[in-house]
Amino acid sequence: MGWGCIELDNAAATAAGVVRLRRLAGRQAILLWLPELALATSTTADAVAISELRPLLDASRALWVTTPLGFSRTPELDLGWPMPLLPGPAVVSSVTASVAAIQGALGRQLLLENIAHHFPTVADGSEVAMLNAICEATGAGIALDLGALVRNAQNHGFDPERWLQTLALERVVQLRLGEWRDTGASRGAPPSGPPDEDALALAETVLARAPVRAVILPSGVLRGGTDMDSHALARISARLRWRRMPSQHPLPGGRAV
Amino acid sequence: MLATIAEGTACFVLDDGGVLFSAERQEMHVLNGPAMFVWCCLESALDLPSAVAAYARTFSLTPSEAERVMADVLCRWQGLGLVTDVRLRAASPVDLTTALGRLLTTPQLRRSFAQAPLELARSMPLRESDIPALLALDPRALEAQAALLQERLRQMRHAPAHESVSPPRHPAPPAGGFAACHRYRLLGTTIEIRYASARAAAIVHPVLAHLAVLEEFGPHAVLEVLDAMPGWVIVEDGLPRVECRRLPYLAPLVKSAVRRIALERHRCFAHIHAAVVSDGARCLALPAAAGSGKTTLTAALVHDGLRYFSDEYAPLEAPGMQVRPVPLALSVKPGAADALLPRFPHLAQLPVHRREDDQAVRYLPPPGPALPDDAPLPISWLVFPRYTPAQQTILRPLARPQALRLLLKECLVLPRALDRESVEQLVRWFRAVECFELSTGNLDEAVRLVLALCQQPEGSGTTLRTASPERP
Repeated sequence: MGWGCIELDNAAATAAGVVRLRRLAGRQAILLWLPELALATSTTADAVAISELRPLLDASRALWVTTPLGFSRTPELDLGWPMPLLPGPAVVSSVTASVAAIQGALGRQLLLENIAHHFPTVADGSEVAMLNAICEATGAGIALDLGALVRNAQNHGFDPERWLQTLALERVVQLRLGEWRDTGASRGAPPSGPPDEDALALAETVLARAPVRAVILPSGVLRGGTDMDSHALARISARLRWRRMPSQHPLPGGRAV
Repeated sequence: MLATIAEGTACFVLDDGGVLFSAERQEMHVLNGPAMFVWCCLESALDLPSAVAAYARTFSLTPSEAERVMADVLCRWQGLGLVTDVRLRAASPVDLTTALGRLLTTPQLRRSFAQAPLELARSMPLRESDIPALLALDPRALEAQAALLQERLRQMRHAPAHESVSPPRHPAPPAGGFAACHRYRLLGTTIEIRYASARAAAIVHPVLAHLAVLEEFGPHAVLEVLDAMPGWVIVEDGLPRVECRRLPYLAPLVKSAVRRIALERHRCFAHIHAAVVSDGARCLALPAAAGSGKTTLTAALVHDGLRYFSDEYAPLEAPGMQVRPVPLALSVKPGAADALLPRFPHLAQLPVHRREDDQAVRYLPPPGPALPDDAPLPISWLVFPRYTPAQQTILRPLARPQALRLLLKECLVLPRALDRESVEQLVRWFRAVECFELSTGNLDEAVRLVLALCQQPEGSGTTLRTASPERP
């Protein structure tokens, strides 16, 4: 488990994000979350942005890059938010090609992260089949957002344990733990509250069976901003049998691991 | 009729193209000539054969080619909610994700999907192999996801520009009174800055001194720069806003606060990321992203006789899109200092500050004679600069539709929702503006070309280029 890593949000998209990366270079291993890679709709702009990102990733020793399994742009629209993909055959092949190209350009593994949404594909197995197929074809890993999984299971009425049985768990290298406190069901602001019991139980299952190398916790929990946050951190550590507590003083600007 | 124009959609002619505006979606689309032709056919309510024949004749196409192009354009507009009831079927298939994006953003399409999903999929037209995936989608789930997207977009529009951070400390004001107090005026707003220490005043005041006014101007806002041990806290109207740990970062933070306060209080149509200079009667704006050389060019133009309005922000005021001066000190980055030293030898002696993004800058106050009064002036020229080292310096006319696309990319803030009237004002202004692109390899040549442009009669549209070999 990589204590003391930092996950940065969408760092390539803003000057401030790039500055954070530069500041952290050489000091801290970094996991990067880039929600706008536009997997289903590669464009020239993406290619340019990605090529510019490579030196920063190298300098900051970024372990991998995480992106949602979704799309936030089409050739004519900028939605500004990851929306779920529909797993048609052409979509699977184009996302597979994009993932392979992005991994090549970045020189590191891409992790695809599940998102919470309203489409039935999350419950009927077609989305997880698409995720497995893309990872199988490209060598990409899976970042499992347990908060999103719990939300999907509640909204769509399925058993998350059974959903996990269909996932290629051997590819899960990152877990995200946190409770959704916002009103929406999709991936927006990262989880801001401590994980609930359902998510912790799922985390136990996954940690026992998957080669997880990093667990992302909400920054509030790690900073111990409230008594509830401090208590939550102790609870998580005990529940997941961590031998020592993660740092409660992550570097500014990121969520610690 | 080719299709029905959606309610709230309007189009304005701009040269041989146009600007399409959707009030419901709050979107502007710049149309090229052929697309504008199709729109004119719609507005003229031409029947299908007449429209296709006119298009074919105008663009030297066969009728079938013309019909295919028009169908693709109309179906795309339908996907974007700009028209409905398209009578033609597009020949070029759309991919599943593009179709989904259209459905998520266009209520009319979702209604059609709920009523006749297969018919809608074929009308888009979606690739045959992707149709089963779309048909498996429950219309209620699609509606729920679309509502979620709308809520997200609404949140984004109202989200603060910066992520929330812990509030800074709030140190007490100095017991013995402030060491210095100055009032500065920008965009008609007077801001009083109280410095708790002479050290803070010594680093910040020179950056703003050219904006200083007498105390008879009552302050609209008060900033206090308080010592916080270590560092400083900037307090705005009694509330601590930002904390600064190191002295080189202090002046940029205060300057940024002054600019923000002034811009927030200033009613305007839009804030454009552009430098602006003036010949005293008309303005020339240089819209461009950071790193394009606009500050360097602006400083040189000001030295060589033009008046200084801004090196970064241009607030456009409706109805005429006039621009008002925001003459904050020019932010000169290290790479630009050498080029400006012949004109501003004292630049090397100015202190180096650090912006929030860690960029080192020297703040060059504009020369006194270059400072305009506060009155707004019309923009007559838009010049889009691009720094191209070791390349020929060239100034060439730019088609207005293309220039408008570039300008919209540099639009930072639209304080109010767009309506038909405001978009019409924007387009009307744009019809009268001369637009150019400037590839700058040599600063002196660029200055010569821009000064010559300001002396040319309006509408000459000549391509001006250097003949001399370029140096990096």
